[in-house]
Amino acid sequence: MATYNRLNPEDTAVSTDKVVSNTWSNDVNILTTQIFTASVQAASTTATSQGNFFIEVYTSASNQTVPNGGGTEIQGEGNPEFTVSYGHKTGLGAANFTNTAGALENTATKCIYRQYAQLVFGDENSNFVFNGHEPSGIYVVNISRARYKHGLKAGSLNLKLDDGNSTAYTLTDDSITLTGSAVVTNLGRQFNLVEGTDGVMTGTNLNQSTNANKGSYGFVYPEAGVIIFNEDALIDEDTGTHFIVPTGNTNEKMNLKMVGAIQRGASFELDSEERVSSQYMFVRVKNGEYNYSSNPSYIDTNGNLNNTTMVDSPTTYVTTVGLYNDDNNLLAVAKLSQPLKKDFTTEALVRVKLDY
Amino acid sequence: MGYLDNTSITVDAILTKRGRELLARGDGSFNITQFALADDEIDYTLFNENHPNGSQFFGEAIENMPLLEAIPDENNIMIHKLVTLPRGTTKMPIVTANVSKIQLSLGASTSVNPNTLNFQGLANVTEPGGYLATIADRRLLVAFEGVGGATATTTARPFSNSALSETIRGTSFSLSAINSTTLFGTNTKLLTTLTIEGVDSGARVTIPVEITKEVIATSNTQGVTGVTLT
Repeated sequence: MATYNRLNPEDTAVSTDKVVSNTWSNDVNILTTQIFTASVQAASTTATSQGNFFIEVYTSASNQTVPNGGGTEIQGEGNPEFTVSYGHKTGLGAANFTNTAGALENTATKCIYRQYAQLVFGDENSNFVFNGHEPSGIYVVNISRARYKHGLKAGSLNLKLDDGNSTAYTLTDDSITLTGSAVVTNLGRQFNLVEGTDGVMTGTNLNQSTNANKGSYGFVYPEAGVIIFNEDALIDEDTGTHFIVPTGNTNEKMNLKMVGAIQRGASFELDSEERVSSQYMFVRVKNGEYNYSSNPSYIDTNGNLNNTTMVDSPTTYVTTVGLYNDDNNLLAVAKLSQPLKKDFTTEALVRVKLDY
Repeated sequence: MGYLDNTSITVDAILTKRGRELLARGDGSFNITQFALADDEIDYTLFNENHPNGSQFFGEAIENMPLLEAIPDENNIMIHKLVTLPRGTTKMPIVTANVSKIQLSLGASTSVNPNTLNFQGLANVTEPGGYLATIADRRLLVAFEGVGGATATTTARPFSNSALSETIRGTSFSLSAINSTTLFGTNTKLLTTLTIEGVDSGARVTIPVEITKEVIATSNTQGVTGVTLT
């Protein structure tokens, strides 16, 4: 007499599968023109205003009141899709936190530059060098953690930038061109940001901007969800004055320049990927097992079987599989789509999948 | 000549609330080692032994029934377990207890002794594998212990601000109600259930448990102040 059967080691198997999905909210594959910022968040009134550090980008918006008598205007709302930052080696493009001698002339853009340099290189001496070229400034697109699972899928990036002056161009990582090989940094794998589509670089030279002497367009870090842009390559590509070098220690809202280029480009495609570990348990039911039920409708109040034919041929209908630990705690449960008939002439094999 | 059916049934499992809790503990208690089957939702009065089309159709109504999705509350699923018994069994085991209702005042204790009728042809025995006792809301007890048989290891109880069940094993069980009134709010009593299931038979009985805010002492007490057994 038994109700619990032990699972043997050969009855369980573990499998890890890669699941790829759209990165953006509402399962959107490509962000187009629905790109909004919120002036409340993007304010840069003081040196330490949040907007000097990063600007959040949304895909939904509504008419909202702007503080300090700013009236009403369309404002991004909901959960941000990504943030855009601008970093500068010496802190240009933002106001000094403290304007006195000995204050190190620290600014929001300098903080951003050193923050990402520290994340990537792990030391205070290294700067971003793109295929031999070291710009003073970087733009950073940081995908919100809630938007991707374990990482971005290398080779899925297609970002069109339009500075409003030159022809729009599409950037991707070079993971397919490099057949997956990458520089491994403190921020995970590092691929080059290049002109091309779906992980395939156009041409053979990483220096692809107009004068081809400003290095690659940047780096892509799939595990961290970060894209770092080479400011000089963007300026080189721009025949006008959209992307420019910051001029001094005033709040120049440099990060809005990248938001504007993405908005005009109206095509930002990125997939995320997740590794799902599944445990498979093979529940094997032999012919002589589980042919009686403790179901109240199976018996009368004295325990007699209600159906006389079941005395000779007891029959049950399996609807539920329960998985237990040694202390008989019900850890997981699975339901069948239809009742499974079980009697002394049948055996059953049920494969139970449990995802983590 | 047709093709043989080489398919197996594949189902997706979900973690129960208890499963999630043990997984979060990370102490190795989340370790699936055994399984059981149940026929929840099945009403065997739909089994028609007088079906005009013959015995192949006795279970027609049941076999065509769509089933509901699993729910994660371990107290409300796997209710009616299937049992392995020798062929020719005519009487199914029935679990009974020495009480049909438990009423405890603050800090009071009691014990519950289950028995099984019709177990291997015997009228009234204690199952060799013991019994599993599940309190649906363990917050209402300061002590909940099994005695005798293959008593399951008692683990530390992490704080929980919502009702979580706890299962213990033994041949008799002792319960002690909480001492404080924090959980009561404006209520004068708190209700939960104690489900006792035979490990070997799968038969079960559910006993209502009532914790009262007041200390009660009626003529029906059994030696321990504040405990009413009916």
